[in-house]
Amino acid sequence: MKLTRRRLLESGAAAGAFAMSSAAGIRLTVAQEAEEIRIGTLCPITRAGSVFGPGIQRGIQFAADDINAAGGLLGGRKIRLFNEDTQSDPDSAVRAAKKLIEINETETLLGTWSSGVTMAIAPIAIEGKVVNMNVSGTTDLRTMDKDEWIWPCGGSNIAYGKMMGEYAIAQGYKNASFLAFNNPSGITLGEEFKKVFVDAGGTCEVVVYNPNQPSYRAELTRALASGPEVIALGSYLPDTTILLKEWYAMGEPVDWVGPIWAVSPALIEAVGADAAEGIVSIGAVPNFDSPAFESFKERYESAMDQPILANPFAAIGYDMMITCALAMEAAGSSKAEEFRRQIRAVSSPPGEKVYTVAEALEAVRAGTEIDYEGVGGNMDFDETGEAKPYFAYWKAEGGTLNLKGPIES
Amino acid sequence: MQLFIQTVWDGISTGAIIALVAVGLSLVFRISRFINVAHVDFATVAAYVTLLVAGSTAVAFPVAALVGIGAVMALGLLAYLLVYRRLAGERSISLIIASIGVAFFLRYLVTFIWGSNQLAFDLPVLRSIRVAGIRMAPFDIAIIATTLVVFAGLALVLRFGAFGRSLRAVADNPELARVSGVAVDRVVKQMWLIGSAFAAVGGIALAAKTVITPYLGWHLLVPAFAAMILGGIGSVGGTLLGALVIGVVGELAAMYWLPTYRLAATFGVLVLVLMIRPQGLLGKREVAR
Repeated sequence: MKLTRRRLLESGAAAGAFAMSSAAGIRLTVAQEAEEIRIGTLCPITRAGSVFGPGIQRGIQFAADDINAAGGLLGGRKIRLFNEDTQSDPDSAVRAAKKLIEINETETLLGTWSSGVTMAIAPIAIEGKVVNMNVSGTTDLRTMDKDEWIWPCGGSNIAYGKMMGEYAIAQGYKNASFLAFNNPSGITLGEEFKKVFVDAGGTCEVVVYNPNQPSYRAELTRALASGPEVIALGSYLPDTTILLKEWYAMGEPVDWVGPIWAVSPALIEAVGADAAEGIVSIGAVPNFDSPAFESFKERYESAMDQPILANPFAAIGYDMMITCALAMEAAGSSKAEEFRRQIRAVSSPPGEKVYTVAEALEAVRAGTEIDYEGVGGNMDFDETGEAKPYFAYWKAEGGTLNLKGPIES
Repeated sequence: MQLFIQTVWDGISTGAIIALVAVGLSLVFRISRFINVAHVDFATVAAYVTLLVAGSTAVAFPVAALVGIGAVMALGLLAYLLVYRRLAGERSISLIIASIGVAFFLRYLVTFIWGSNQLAFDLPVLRSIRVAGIRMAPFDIAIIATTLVVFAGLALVLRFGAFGRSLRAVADNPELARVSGVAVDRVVKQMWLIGSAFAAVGGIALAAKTVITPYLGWHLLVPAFAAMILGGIGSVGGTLLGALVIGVVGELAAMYWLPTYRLAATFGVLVLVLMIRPQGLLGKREVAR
């Protein structure tokens, strides 16, 4: 481009005008919003997690609306959300997290999904003195030194493995095999399943397999070799589809149980009703017993046009926002540095069980010790800082996956 | 013993699919002297086109598969005309890199159109039949039979047909073939059509056996490449033998050693064979003339 004097003048003028207007804009915003409490949502709106992200974000939004409708926090301050998309990808999530912390000045990042994403933003959150609540399952989140900055709320692989083991024991199975995808998730599920199952007097053979194979016959034959009554899965959808197809063709009777991300309606569609018949899925469900659940369910279903059970993380997103809000009210501060120490106190026992935002806020202000019970789970954080959701099981019957009932632990 | 025979049979059924993909890779190498990485993505495209045709109209699956094969033959020819022919005469590394580009283009095109979630053919899953105590899935019998038939046909064409003579002439010395009156360009085009057709058949078979994702063929690149090297580059029979060995060794390793060592075992065998026979099982030693 040839730089003429005229063009230089034009661009200079434009840049100047832009600088002035944006500077004024920033001053104006800061003045208006000094009293707002700035919260970042960091959900997987696009790509792999896009089946969950928009719902989680909506859940957080509902909670913010409810808090604002109840008069806000800390003497009338309203919640303002800043929404960013992780794109289900650690790199994009890190950029989005930095933007939320550095530009939007949020001190709370809610709703990360997928362990890779949460593990990537965790150091930034801790370094930036920001609270993160997530629905990621890796056990690294339990064991890491997180000093009450990072809070997993969606159920870890250990929780899933334990629930699958307890389900299998409750069914009276004595001999099981476990087919584990060769990554930390599959192996942790297998180890935990085996531990629970063997402690209850059963025997379990764990077969670890590599993904992306054209065939899993040898793996299946090994899993079937000890004559198990049930084969449990630590797997994902594509490998589960291939395993189940091959098993059905083999014609060896055995029961199957797997986690909801592998044993989903998509699996049944892919393998067909016959091959899928009787397979059991274990997954998180919302807190059906909460008095606040029904109204959340209606609100969510009409807003998102999907059943609440399609996305158990949405209700957990709601609980994340409420829990942080209650902690802020209890701490008398919206600074993450201060309110994070109240998160466990307001959400976990001991304390009076509270269910709705209004009653919870009232109790906190009255100085009562509370135990918030959410619409997504009970938000009881254990010694590792993880809150375990409620679990239920589904069974494939005639081509559909039917919710059968809770799993009690 | 029964378990051993069962494991070998299962390995053969996997090897048959690897062979279909590998032979196309080998044919392209024989005449164009480079590893066409995009070959395995041709297999992926075949599966998606077949799914598109089978899913949107009432045509039977075999018809859809034929459309898929035809589309990929056209795709292979197009890739040759638009990309590879322009690079003819360059070092083979340039062609390999170009083919990686084509591979990425196809994979992301497929992802753009169909998304990255898994899809599957609407085919019934059939129970195995038992022959002398060995479980044989009807699909596996069909795919092994198909592989044997098309390989026999290809071997006959290459050995006795005019196309085979021309192909061998071009493979040995393109310049000499040209001055001897062989229509080199036409032979190369025909070879791209045939090679792509094999990728398509392999891709559709693999898709029917597993699930369809944008990475369907990609996961076969290493086994197919290994089969081609093991059997002897350019040898049709060798590629079939190499693929069967890869399939069977992988299955035996998973059964008697550890499932996670499948690939390690196949590469161990590959290294061993190449130490004894550098030209591969049925390959001919390259000689300078």
